[in-house]
Amino acid sequence: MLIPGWLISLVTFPGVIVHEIAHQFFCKLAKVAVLDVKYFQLSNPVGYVIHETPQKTSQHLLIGLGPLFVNTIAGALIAFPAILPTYTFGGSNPIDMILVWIGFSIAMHSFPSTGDAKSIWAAVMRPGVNTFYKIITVPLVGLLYLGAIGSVFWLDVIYGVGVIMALPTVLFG
Amino acid sequence: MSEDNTVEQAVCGSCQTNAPDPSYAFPLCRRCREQLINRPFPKWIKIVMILVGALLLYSAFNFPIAFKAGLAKQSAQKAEAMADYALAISEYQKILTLFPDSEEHKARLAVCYIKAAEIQQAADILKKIDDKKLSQKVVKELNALIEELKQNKSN
Repeated sequence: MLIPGWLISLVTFPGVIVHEIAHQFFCKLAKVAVLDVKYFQLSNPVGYVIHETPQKTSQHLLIGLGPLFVNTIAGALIAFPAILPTYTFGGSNPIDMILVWIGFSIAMHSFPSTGDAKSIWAAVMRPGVNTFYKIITVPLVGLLYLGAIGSVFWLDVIYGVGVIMALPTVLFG
Repeated sequence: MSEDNTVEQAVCGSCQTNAPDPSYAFPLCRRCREQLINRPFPKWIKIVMILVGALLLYSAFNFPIAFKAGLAKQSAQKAEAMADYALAISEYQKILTLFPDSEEHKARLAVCYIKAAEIQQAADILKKIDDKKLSQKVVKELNALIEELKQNKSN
């Protein structure tokens, strides 16, 4: 089913905002200047953080991959106490529904964009960069591209659902 | 999405006045770089951060409740499988203390009461869930048990 991207972004806007906040936060942590930020908009890209080129590869990885971890963990934690009452104990209330929506939205926007993947790739493939970084980055960037391209096939939605359902499923079957 | 930039310039790309710090690729003076590193979050973003933080706190507060109920469910299912109905009853009761509206678990508790030959308790629960929507599986199980009870009584 084809649903316009802007509509999906509008419904899941908390995830976009958290993703961009995470980018900006990691820029601050890595002491990288942020030149421009858009936390949310209805055009493509739905959000962005433009920053100066980091000097170290580790800073690149931190800024590029930070939101993947922040959104995944925050999404899973926010949704967990609401998933069990909703799907297992039948005792959910409107707040649980909001938690599931926010948790899913945040988890769904975990994946870095192709822009992030390009930036990480360019940083790691520079001459003189430690081979260790290259070894861990090649499959990672492949995954990031897969995630970005896969959003056409709802991979981001599947990831979001997977993240919020994973913890209760792993813990309690 | 994040994007990085490198530009060659003789003056700071932000204030257009001071000389850029030569140790960085992007032309920013020390003062502007410091400001842009610590770029403040807009007020509405701070509100969003507070809301997300509040949700995380709410979730953290409710996490143990959901976790306890999940553990009780696992334990109840294991106990049922091992025909330890006394333990299963106690675990389903724990779930119902935490989630009193869980009709499916009330039904499972009724099943365990019947299997433990505590018919009066089972009857009390069955009265409460009489008009509730339950899964086919538990309804079939309950019907079979009730049928068995009727046959035993008539024999």
